Amino acid sequence: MNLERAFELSSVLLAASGFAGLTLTTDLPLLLAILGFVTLTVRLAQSCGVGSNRLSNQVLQFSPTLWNSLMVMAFVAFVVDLLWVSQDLLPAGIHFLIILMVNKLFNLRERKDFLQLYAISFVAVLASATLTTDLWFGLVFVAYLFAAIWTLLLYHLTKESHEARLAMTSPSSPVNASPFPGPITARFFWTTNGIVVGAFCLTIAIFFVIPRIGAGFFKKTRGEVIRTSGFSEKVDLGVIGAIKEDPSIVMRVEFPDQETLDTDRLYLRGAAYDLYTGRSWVNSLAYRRSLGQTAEGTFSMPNVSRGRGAGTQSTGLLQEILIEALDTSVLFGVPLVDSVVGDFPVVQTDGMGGISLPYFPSTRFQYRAHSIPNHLLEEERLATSLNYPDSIRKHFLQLPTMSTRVTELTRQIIRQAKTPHQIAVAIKQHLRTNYRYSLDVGTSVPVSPVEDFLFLRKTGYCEHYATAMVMMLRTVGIPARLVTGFLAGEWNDFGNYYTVRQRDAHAWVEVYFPRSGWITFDPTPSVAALVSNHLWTAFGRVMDSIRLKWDRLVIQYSFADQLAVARGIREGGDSARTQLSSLLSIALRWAGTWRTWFADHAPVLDWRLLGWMVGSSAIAGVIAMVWRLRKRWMGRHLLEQGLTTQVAIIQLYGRMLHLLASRGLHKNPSDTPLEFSRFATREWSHSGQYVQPLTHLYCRVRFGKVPLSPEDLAQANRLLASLRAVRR
Amino acid sequence: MYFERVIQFVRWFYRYRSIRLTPEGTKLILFTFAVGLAAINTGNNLLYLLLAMLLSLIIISGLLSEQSLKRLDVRRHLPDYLFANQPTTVSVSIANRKLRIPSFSLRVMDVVQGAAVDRGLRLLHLPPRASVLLSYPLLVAKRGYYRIQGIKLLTRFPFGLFIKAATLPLESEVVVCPELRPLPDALVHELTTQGQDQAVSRRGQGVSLYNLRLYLSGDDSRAIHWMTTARQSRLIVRETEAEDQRRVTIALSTAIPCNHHQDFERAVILAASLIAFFHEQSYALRALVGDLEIPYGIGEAHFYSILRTLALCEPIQVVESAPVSNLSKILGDGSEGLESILLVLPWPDPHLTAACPGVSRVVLASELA
Amino acid sequence: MYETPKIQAIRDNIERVIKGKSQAIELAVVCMLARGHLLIEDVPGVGKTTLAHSLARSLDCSFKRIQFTSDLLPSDILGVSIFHRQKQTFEFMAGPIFANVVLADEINRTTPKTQSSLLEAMSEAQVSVDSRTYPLRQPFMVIATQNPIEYHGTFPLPESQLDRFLMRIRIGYPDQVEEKKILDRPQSLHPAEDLQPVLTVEEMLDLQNTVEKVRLDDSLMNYLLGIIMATRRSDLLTLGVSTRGALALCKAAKALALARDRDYCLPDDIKELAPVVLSHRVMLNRGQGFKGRSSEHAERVVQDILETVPIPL
Repeated sequence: MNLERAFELSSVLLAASGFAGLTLTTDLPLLLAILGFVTLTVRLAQSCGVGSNRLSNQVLQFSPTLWNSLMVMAFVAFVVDLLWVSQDLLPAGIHFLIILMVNKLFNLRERKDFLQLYAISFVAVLASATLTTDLWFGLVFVAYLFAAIWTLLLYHLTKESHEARLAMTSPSSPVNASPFPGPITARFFWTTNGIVVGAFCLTIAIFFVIPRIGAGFFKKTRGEVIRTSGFSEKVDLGVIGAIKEDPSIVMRVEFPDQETLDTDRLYLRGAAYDLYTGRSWVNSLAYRRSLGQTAEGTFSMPNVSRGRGAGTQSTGLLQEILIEALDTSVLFGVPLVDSVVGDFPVVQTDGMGGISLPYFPSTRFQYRAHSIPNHLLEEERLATSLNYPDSIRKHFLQLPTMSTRVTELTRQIIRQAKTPHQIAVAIKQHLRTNYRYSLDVGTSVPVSPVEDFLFLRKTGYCEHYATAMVMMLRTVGIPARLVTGFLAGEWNDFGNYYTVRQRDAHAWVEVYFPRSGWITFDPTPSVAALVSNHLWTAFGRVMDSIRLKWDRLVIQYSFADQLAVARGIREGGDSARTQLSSLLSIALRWAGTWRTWFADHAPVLDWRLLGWMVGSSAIAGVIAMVWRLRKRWMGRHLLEQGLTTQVAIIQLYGRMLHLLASRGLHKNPSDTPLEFSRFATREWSHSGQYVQPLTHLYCRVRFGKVPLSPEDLAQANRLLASLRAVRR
Repeated sequence: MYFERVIQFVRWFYRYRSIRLTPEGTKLILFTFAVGLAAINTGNNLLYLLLAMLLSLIIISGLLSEQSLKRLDVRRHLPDYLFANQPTTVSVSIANRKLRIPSFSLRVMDVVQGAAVDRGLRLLHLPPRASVLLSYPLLVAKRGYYRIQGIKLLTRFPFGLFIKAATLPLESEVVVCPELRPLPDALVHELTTQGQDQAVSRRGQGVSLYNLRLYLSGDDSRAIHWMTTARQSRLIVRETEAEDQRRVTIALSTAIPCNHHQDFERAVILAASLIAFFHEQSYALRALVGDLEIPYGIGEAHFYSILRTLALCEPIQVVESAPVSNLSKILGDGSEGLESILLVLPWPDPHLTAACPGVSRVVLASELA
Repeated sequence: MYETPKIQAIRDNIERVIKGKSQAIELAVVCMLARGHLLIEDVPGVGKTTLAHSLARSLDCSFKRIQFTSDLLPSDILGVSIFHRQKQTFEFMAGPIFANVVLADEINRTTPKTQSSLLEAMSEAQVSVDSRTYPLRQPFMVIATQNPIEYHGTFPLPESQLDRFLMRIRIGYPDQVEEKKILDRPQSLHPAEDLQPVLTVEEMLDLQNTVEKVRLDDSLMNYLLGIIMATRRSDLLTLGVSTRGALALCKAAKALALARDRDYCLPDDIKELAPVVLSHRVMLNRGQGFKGRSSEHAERVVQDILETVPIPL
């Protein structure tokens, strides 16, 4: 492939990566996408010399005026687009950009056309950077970097050789030397790829070093907000059911302090409700108060909401939560959240222990939460009666108008129970065992959903169970409240985090004990999570964890992270060593998890598939080895057959030169073989004993036409092998 | 210690390297600023990523262009003498002393009087450990010293965004002799016949026949002309005519009144042309340039030393009624018979002419067409 | 392998007299093998006469030395027909050119007319005097010397005449160690006189014929032509090497190969001989008036050109 061809090809690739960025990150109208795709493939094929040029030639033959009129029409379309169709600058601009790109691709004649194409593709990549935070952008970026470096380099080289050629044809200038070797050699190819790799590493390094000083004045991000429900001030029964089928990821929870939890049920508390109207729950203690900052970015909850049964600070659980852009401002955490660390200006709490931001977050964000669960004090568990303060009584014993059947049922259930704790447990057990979990609640809207659930249908889901339990507890005078949140059960053992989806939305109950605080009870029977262990879902999990890393390290990388890194670097020496050892242990653990992961999934994996994979890779490896060795064997075989002595000796000598070149001794083209052998002996004395006889043999055979005897050949091969073995 | 090295590096860089932007480079810098501003404004990390990419492109461009310019040995071959207004070829050999890395897209320029002069030398690719010989025509218009202070190597490698220049102090100096012009035919005729008039046949060593006479004892036996001896049966000796070594003195007056430099230059050109003419005729040459005398000599080296003196001579400003220079004193002695003395003057100067009676011919600059 | 022992014997023989100049001796022997003439351009007193004399003595050939002065006549070189009064006939008295090895010392001191008489005889291998031709001896070799420093009153050989010499070499001063040995040695007035011949004239003629049979591979021929083309193309040279020069290089390379124990040529032979064979056949660019030794400059240019011609692999 010569320079010109390669240059055209890489320019088209550059445009293609820009276009790919646009298609992958925003949704383009189908027509434009197809148009762009077709144009790119045609141009690519043309640049590679594949396929007929008829189509593009025909298009190219459109006169410039025709193209200009097309452009004018496109501009008019852009204005129309801006004003009526999309009504937004960015999408309209992107459509216009794609039309420009198609136009330019067919009009690549002069240098400045190429430059305009590059500008267009750069704007495309820029646009897709602002529009997305997807992992795909990373791939587009790598492709763009690769194409950009190749294109810039080839642009420069072709320009220089053009100018040189022009200069040579003009009579006034002298003859100049060394035009660039026409076709692209393998060396050039690999060197340029090396430059690409270097540029990539440098880019990553600079990316992590640039100080993030932005205050985000014009921060306007786009992205889809996930509509979730169940966490506003008023929640209708059945609202959670609506999202129970939605698998979209809502958040990811990691535990920096420990690797896994011993339980596989992770409750993430969102909001709590005290007032039940018979159809919906309302939070009447919704008055919000700002939390104070104890340290930079750390917001702590006041001690009031914590019970005395709570453990000490050190037994708390630290979670790192990466939460998508939801349409709720609630911050989630393992109950009960003690402090929150994040890049927030203000964090608020309501009277129910729920934490929220004062505004809806428009993008994905991350924060840390520290939680200290409430433990039931032993004495309160055994206490037969408890004294509840008035404030609690006022809010959490409220009952709507209900039939007495509920009360009767309750009393029936708790016949055996003596302490409030036993009452709660009994109700929980009753609900768990006697009612069937089902998401299908029928179409008719019942008068009283709780009674409908308890007596009529006897099936329901978490909301029903929890509401029923709260009602039943309140009828016997035990303060309880409804809590909504998420119940995560999907552990991604690849990235060591919990994946929380929409369908994990859950509701459960908190029961009040005067000294211990609010204790969690979950009456909903657990449904075995159908974790399909297919290879595909495993792969999906890998992808998800990569997406998490991408988000964490690239998208969310902030000034705080940089400070942390800088501080870390400053604490140099020892910590580096411990870091290294911990890295090593992480690597070993990684290998271990790989192994266990494979072991776990192996029984489920298709044996045949696995066997196939292993077998084919082994065969491929063997074939590759044989191919490489074959060449060498064949070469030697050819030599031993004495094909043409000249060819044989030239090959042999060439191999020797190659070997010496790899040790740093290069032969000038104008050096004679004997001169070079003297030079080699001077520079590397040990080589002399092999290089000199080889050179003499070469001269004898090549220039003296002395026939090459097999003994000579064997000896020459021996010399070459010994030379190869000697180290410089 | 590091600080000192940084200072050293900065100083070296400032003196020997320079960077300029090409139009594409300017566009890239503008793009970088724009993206940087957008990134700072929005805090979007992906924009920071793009900014990092642009910055790394710029840094890599700098590194690679430095690699391209490093360790290049340049030698210049200039002749020792040039003639004004006569093209000559200068060759520059560039050797790439790097072991593995080739150099790309080099342009070679001479640095003359602080400014870089483009000689049109382009080198697209110089493999490692290879050397190449480039040549270019050089035309110097003015006589005197011509100095080239250094060589500048420019490259736009790798991306054509920046032009990096390395300045190597490679000094060359050459003496530019005055232009040699062919003399007008009339003058040539006059000078040669003048010579001929002066030639007097004498006996002496030479080739052409002068006389045939009887052999006398003591004569060189090689001089016996055997043909005639055979005819006359007596020993006959052949005498040859002396080949005169013809001599000429060219005198150039360097005293001029103010601001007649152009005429003086024409006189210098005339003097040089005369010298060249007589040198071709194998005359022995003597030159008087101002107060400087170059005694008689013959041969190439002598010729060039006279030309060198002419190349470097400077006119002296004199007031009109100055005393006559040494020139007249030397010339006033009169010639020794067989030599001609030519006085080259920018314009007719009867005063000087009168003061030099020995001059055979006064040649005026105006006679040179 | 071949005739090497004999050629080596010549070289060793000469080296008994001239120490430390083995390269110059080898080139002189090669020149004789190739039936060419040698031009030595060097300062006085480095052993030019001794070299020529030793060469002649080693081959049991006759040796004559002509000291050129400005009043030398062609008849002093070629010879003269003398009229015998008694016999009434002309008798030709041969000049010093009728020897096997002729040393023409300081050829640049004499008039062009005398120079041309020698050069014509060299190229024609015969002498015409008074409308009679007399062939010269075989083997016949002229070793001419020029003093490059003293130009005063000299008539340097013009480039067009230099072509007749196969190679132009320089002997140069010996290095310090060798010079000390020379001074230590007992001085003899005519050191070459003591040499014994190691080869007969017939053997030398035989060797000269063998040179024709030395093989020059096609690729090397291309290499040689490449060099010639490069000299013609070079900007530094007004005149490149002529076809005669190419032939000369070819012949000299074959002779050198023979002298080194081979019946085939190597690229080294061509590369080593190119400066000495070609540098006096090229004309440096006009306007490049070089003060000092333009011969050195020509050699430098030829070396530079050699560096740009690739050797076939």
